[in-house]
Amino acid sequence: MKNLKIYLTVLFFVLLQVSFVPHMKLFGYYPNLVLLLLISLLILKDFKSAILWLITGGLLLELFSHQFFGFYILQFILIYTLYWFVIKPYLHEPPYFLVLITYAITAILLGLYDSLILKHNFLSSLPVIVVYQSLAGFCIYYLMSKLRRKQISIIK
Amino acid sequence: MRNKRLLVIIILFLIIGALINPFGLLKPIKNYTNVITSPITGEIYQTTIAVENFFHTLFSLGNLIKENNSSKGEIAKLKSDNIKLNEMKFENNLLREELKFSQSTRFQLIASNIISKSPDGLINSVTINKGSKDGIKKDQAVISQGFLVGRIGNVYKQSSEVSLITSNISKVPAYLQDSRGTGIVRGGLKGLSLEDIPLDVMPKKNEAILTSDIGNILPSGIPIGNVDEVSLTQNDLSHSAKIKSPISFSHLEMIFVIKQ
Repeated sequence: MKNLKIYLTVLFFVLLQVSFVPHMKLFGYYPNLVLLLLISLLILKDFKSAILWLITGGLLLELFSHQFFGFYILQFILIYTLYWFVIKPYLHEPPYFLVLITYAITAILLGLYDSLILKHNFLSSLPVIVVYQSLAGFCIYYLMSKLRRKQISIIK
Repeated sequence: MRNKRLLVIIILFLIIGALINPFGLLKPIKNYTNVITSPITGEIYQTTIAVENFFHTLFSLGNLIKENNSSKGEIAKLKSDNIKLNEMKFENNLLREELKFSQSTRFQLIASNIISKSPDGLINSVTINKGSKDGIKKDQAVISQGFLVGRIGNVYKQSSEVSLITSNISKVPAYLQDSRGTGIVRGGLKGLSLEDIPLDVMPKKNEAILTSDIGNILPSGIPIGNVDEVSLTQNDLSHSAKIKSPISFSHLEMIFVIKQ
């Protein structure tokens, strides 16, 4: 039942990503809220279960994607792999500034990925991508962590 | 253990999906996804534009009053010009009748609504609610208010993807209306620009830019925009100039596909 709520939240965010989020463009860019949500879940919830949520989110985005099949899933798997091997030891109840840095690093990696696949000039849009993605990601993380604390206090 | 098994199944499914995608076997799945979700995504998209327009109007009321006052003089002049144009139209019709020209509209248009946008912020493309069953084909031109906005990409049975000209990867052959110089219109984060203009051609400010039929991709003569800020960066082979389009690409609602 708990996992079903997460999958439904992911689906909701996917629908928002293709209909509402494009109107939140800043300097020609808007963030991927689905990825930011999934990273929040990765940090706050079970790291092992998160791979299934990531792949589900990626699959749902592929259905709306105008790129080759696997564009988003590959992106998500690469980020998960990086988190698993490099960032995971530092993500146990991290302070907020560390979460912000994590999102900033993720934004840079996404920019690199997009520049390789889309042949886009990554450096010209780097500041916008990093700032916008980090702030949006932090807002989602903050909301999710508050919800989690509320759930824990209700159970207690 | 159960999770690992599920993971292996999903990864196998993804590999199969990636292998069969080039053969277009995933198209029906994408088509039905667009059809099922379009009532929700289309409604959210259109409602958000309406809300944005409301706030935009609210915040620009002061400017609207000033513009209204300055427009009154222009309206009087336009009324007089309109009378002269009606006279010319009458003469034109008479001449056509004399020479027996057939009056036919140049393009057949298919009206369509935008139901969703690409999930990625850097890829400027939208999905529309018309597909192959409505006569949509790949590479057909897409216009809004008479100006070029994009080209049809992937086509499904009941929906299609439109790659906008503001996209980073968009390239549209075009020409300058007065100086007749050719070039390529490219998109990107900095906006539209006309590049690869021959060195012996000098674009003028506000000069119209239209599509060229070089490569037989798009019909010739579709307006794209006007030259804005003639900042000529000279390399060994060509010039480039920024383009101003009257179309607000982030507020597109209804667009028209040119049925060639």
